[in-house]
Formats: sequence, structure tokens, C-alpha cells
Amino acid sequence: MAKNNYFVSVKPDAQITSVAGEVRAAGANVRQTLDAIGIVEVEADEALVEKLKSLAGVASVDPATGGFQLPPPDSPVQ
Amino acid sequence: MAKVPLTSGADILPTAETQSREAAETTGRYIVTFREGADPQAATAALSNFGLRTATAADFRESAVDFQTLGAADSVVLPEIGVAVVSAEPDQMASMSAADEASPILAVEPERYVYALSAPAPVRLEEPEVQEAAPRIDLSPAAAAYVRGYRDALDSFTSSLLSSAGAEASAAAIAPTAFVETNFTWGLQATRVHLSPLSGRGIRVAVLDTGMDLQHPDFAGRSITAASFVPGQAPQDGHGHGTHCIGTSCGPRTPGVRPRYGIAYEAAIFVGKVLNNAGSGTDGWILAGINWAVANGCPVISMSLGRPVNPGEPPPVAYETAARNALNRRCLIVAAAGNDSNRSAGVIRPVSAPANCPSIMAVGAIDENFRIANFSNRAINGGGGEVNLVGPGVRVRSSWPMPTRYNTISGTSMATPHVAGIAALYAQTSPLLRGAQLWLRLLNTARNIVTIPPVDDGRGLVQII
Repeated sequence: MAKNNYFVSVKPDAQITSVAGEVRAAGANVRQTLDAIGIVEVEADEALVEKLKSLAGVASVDPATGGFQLPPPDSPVQ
Repeated sequence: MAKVPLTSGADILPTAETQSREAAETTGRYIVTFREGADPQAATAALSNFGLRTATAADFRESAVDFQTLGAADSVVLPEIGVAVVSAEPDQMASMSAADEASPILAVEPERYVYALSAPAPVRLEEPEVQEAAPRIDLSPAAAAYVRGYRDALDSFTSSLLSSAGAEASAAAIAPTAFVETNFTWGLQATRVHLSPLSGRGIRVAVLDTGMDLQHPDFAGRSITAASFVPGQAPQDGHGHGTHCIGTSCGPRTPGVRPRYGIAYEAAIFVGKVLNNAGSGTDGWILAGINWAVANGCPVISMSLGRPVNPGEPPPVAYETAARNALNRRCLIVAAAGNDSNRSAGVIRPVSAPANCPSIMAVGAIDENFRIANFSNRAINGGGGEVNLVGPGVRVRSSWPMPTRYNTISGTSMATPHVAGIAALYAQTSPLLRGAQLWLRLLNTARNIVTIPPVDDGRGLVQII
């Protein structure tokens, strides 16, 4: 299975450090823990997503998108 | 359809739970109602007895307005309707409430937001729950008279102020005549920034974008904190977009070359580079930038970025989580509604992500004739996909990396920092105006543009008042 990046939304009443630990123990690679906004970015197999969603303290697990692209600097509309 | 959030002050966000409903619906000012037939001069004198400096609507009718006087006044007396709007401490008002029968003061009550009357909430038949969620405002006859009079008086004020300031705009007209940009960009005039004494002093404004030209001469001596979340690239702007957005939100009062284009000229600038020099960025970089801005306690976070979404597409959960946590930590995120439309060709697209999150303020764009911009997206999706406000976003002059120095471009990216800069001005006026309260203040002070439907402009054009 291909590995993808996911964003784990932490429940408001959960400790993000313990959630990050549980996610890691479940087999995901923690890329960054954003403690001010309650998000853990992980790299994981797609097959792991349902397991991550079932963890206590996890509100949601959502895949990273293709990202953002501005027009070139000389575009009249930005 | 999902409920439109942030329509009511009471049920919007967890932070509102810490505020009483009363506080959520009041402005922090007070309405003083004078006894029927009270002499305006006696009424003014009564306010002076409580240590309040007063201005009178009549002062602004005839001749030139001394705006500094208005700015310094604690209260404005509206003699035609026998009320005054007063800015004062609660204990000061308590003593005024206890005034005896000989006093011309009849009653003192908190000023409530009046938007439901002066700028009716949009009627969206497909979303009846919006109407149910609208705040109920029970006005006494005196207060209703105040509201009508206040509206009329403000129209008079703005006409006088704009003409005395030399601006070409007329507040009475739906659309202004041509703006003259000798001293101020049209965007600063349309949002009344050129009349405001506020500077954003002490307010941290984070602009998450392509970085900034840190050597730009217009920003010499400014408080700038820069960080890059783009691997291998410094915060220095290699694109131009970030420098332009920072210019609008935080540019100087007196730039090297006129006109003035910047709003919060004494704000502390937090440059978060989340888009690389080619203008692209990942969710991971952007969320890291939001996290940094929130951790640094930035009350205003401006994001002139977005990606197109399809009709029916829900908002991205991670950004909504981030934005809700940011609001709980007193940080407001504003984001561009997106430029995917081509209205002249009949193409109108939904508000982009992440501006489509319920807890992120989505900003559309208008031009200098107060028409919706050809490219500006529309509220097609519910559940956060509304346009909340519009800002000036066509032919916007601002800073650009040297040696070019200035550039005039268009986009909802340019409208967004107008809202961010004005948010910083409001935040300067009170430490209570943070998070959801700051959001409400921006909506409740917006100028309704009757010729643009709310699906395109939300509550209207952002204003500093």
C-alpha cells in the first residue's frame, strides 16, 4: 500500500502529545505535531486510517490535498 | 443545507461560551436617552459633568469637520432624537444611570448591534435555519428611534467627512464616482481607513504567504518577525505576492512614494512563508504556519491562498480544526474566497478552500465602482462556504519586491489583507476584540452594498468606523 500524508484532528479534550504517541504506536510516522491548533501530521499506509480514526482522542483523519498554487508573479489576477 | 455559522453571536463558537449573550450582542458602548424635550445643550452639559467629551451630529452638518475632535470625543449627541452614543467605563455609566430627576438623562442602556435593522440579514430561502439563528434584538421605541436616527446621522457624517477629507467618494451614493489616488489608494478610501486615527499599534498580524522582501525601504524600522515553513527557502519573498499582501495589511503611513496603501502601519508584522518562491505550498506547510502564528498569539492571521472546490464539496476538516482552535486562542483567520469565477462568461464558482471553513472568514473582492469582481467566487456551498465580507480587490496598489517597489494587481488575495489590516485596527481598540468577537465586529461594521447580493458579498464591504 502506498504511504500518504494525513492530518489527524485531535479532540478538544485530548492531550495532543498522548494522541501523537498513540498514533505512532499504531504504526504511523509522525511528521509534525502542531500543538497550538490540535493537528498531528502523519505519514501512513492507507490501510491504517481506520485504525487511527478509532483511537481515543482522534476526532478525524483526513488526507493531505494536492496543495496550493498561486498564479505567476506577472499575472494581473492573483 | 448546513447551518451557516457565525450569523449569531450566541451559538457560534466555543469562545462565545465564555461571554454572556448580553455581551455578545452589545458593542461596549452605551445609549443615553434624554428626557423628552430636553435642551440639547443641557444634555451635552450633563455628559460633560460625567467627564465625557462630546461631539454633536449637528457639528458635522454645515462646515468642515475636525475629525480629530470626533476621534477624541467619548460621545456623540444626536439631538434630533434625544440620544447620545457614549464610550465609557461601566462604573462611569452606573453613576450616570443613577442620575436624579432633574437630570436631562432618562435612561442608560448598553448599545446593541444594530445590523439586523440597518443592514438586514440576507434572506436565503434555501436556508431557513439561518433566519432562525439570527439574533433577536428587542428594541424599545426610544432605541428604535435611535437606530433610525443613528443611521441617518451616520450618513450625514460620512458625507461630510468624505467631502472634507478631499475624497471623491460619496457615502450617499451606491457607487462612488472615480477615486483620486493622490494620497490614498482607492481601497483605503472605500474602507474609510484614510479617516481613521488607528494604526494597529501593538497588534501582531501574521501574513502566511510567499514571504516578504525584508529589505523593502517602506518597511525600514518596522517590527518584523519572519519564519519559513518551506524546506530550503528563507522567508525572503521570491515571488511578490506575499510582499504585496503585507503591504496592504501592514504597510506604512508614509510610504516612500505616495499614495499610502497600507492599513495597520504600526502593527507587528509576522511573516510566515508557507508558499515557495514559485507560489506553491502544501497543507503541511500552511498548517505549520497557522500553528506558528497561533503559538505567537497573533490576533489576526491573513491567508491570501486557496484551492478551487467543486459544488457540494465539504470544507477541509484539518483547517476547520485549526481555525476553531485558533479562535479559541483568540486568533482570527481571514482567507481569500478565490478567483475561480469568470462572471462575464457566466462562470461562477464556489468559495475556495480553506476559506470555505466555517471558522475561517472568507473574503471576496469588489472593484472601485463597488461591483463584484469578475473573478470573485460565490456562496454556492453551505457549511462554511459563504462569502463573509468583501474588500477592495481590483487594481490594488501595494508594495512589491525591490527594485520594482510597487505593483498594482487584482484578486481576492488583495481584498483579504484589507480585512486583515482593518481587523488589526479594531483589535487595537480593545483587548476584548479577539477571536469570535473580532469576527463579529468586522461583520457588524461592514457596509451593505445594496447592488450586490449577499451570496457574493456576505455582509458587505469591510469598514473601519
